[in-house]
Amino acid sequence: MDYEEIIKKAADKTRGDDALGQEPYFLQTVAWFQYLGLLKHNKILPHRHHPDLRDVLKAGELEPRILELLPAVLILLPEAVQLRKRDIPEDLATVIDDIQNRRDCKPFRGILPQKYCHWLKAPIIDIARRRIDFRSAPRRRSTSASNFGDIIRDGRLKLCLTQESFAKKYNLSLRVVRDLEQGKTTASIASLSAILGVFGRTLRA
Amino acid sequence: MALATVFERLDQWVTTENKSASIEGFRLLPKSIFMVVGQAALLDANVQFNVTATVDVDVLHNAKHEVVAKLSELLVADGFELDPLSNEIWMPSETRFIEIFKGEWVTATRAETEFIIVSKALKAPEKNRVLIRSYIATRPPTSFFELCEKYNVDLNAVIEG
Repeated sequence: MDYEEIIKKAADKTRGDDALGQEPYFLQTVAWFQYLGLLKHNKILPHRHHPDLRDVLKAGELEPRILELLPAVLILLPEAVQLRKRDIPEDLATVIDDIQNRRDCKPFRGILPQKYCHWLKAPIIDIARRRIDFRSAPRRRSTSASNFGDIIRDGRLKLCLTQESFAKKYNLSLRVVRDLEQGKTTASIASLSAILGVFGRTLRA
Repeated sequence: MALATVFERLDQWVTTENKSASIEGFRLLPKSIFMVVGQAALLDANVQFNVTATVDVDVLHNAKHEVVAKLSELLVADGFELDPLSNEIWMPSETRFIEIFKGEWVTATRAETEFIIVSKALKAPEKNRVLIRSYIATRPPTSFFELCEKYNVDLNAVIEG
């Protein structure tokens, strides 16, 4: 075994994997599944999204654990994913049908039935349901300076960035990002405009 | 996630149970050793590469049923689950464990990363392909490759998919 050659090959493949891992469909799916308490990730932060089933399936190609959870999510928490019946691929529809009709299940894209069926009885599904219910409750909107903080924080989390990486990426001071998210109005108009511009918003008098 | 905190709470619970048992003349719960393996151990180790984990925690142990049941309860309270099939997980016999908590009744350890990856490469390469690639890209120690050779893990096949 040539260790150096293996390391090089793995590094090449990892560059491709990392690029896919930065795609919004992947970041948003993992962030949402984390928000629901179904997944853990050491670098992506939990956040509220409502991913489309096609995005979830695509994310599952990179991370099969998403596919492992998917049948239970679609059966027990269908509101967790945006879906139209015609978007459900045949193999997934068959798995769901087999579970609901208590038939013997077949592997789903390499995931064994005992793996994906395990989540049908898992207590975390109830926790995820409570988080979805909380999400559907109307959010209080403020018109104060902290509203800028909400916009910035929500926007940053949608990009799945930490405060540090957000500040670095958009060439801002970390303190400015922190202060704005906390509703402190210490940023200059120029900084505020620059940050809001990232999310396609503008300042108006 | 702070696995050590969960085991600390478990140790406190066993201590309380054993105090009552000794007053009432019942048998004490014996000392237990827990060995966390799988994704939960990787998350706890703060590894540099990306780790995605479902919330089931794989733990090898020698604990009594009551203690395991309490651990399961504590993990659920923390947003995790104890995988009921944990004890069936294969790990290389050479696996080294790092102590993450030591209490009066409970000792908790987690497997070192290279042994977890060998286990995954041998038993579930498809599911863990991206993880294994990114670990290898971090230049693991030679002992990792030697273990793979020992257990006939075809790393080229695992990487290529």
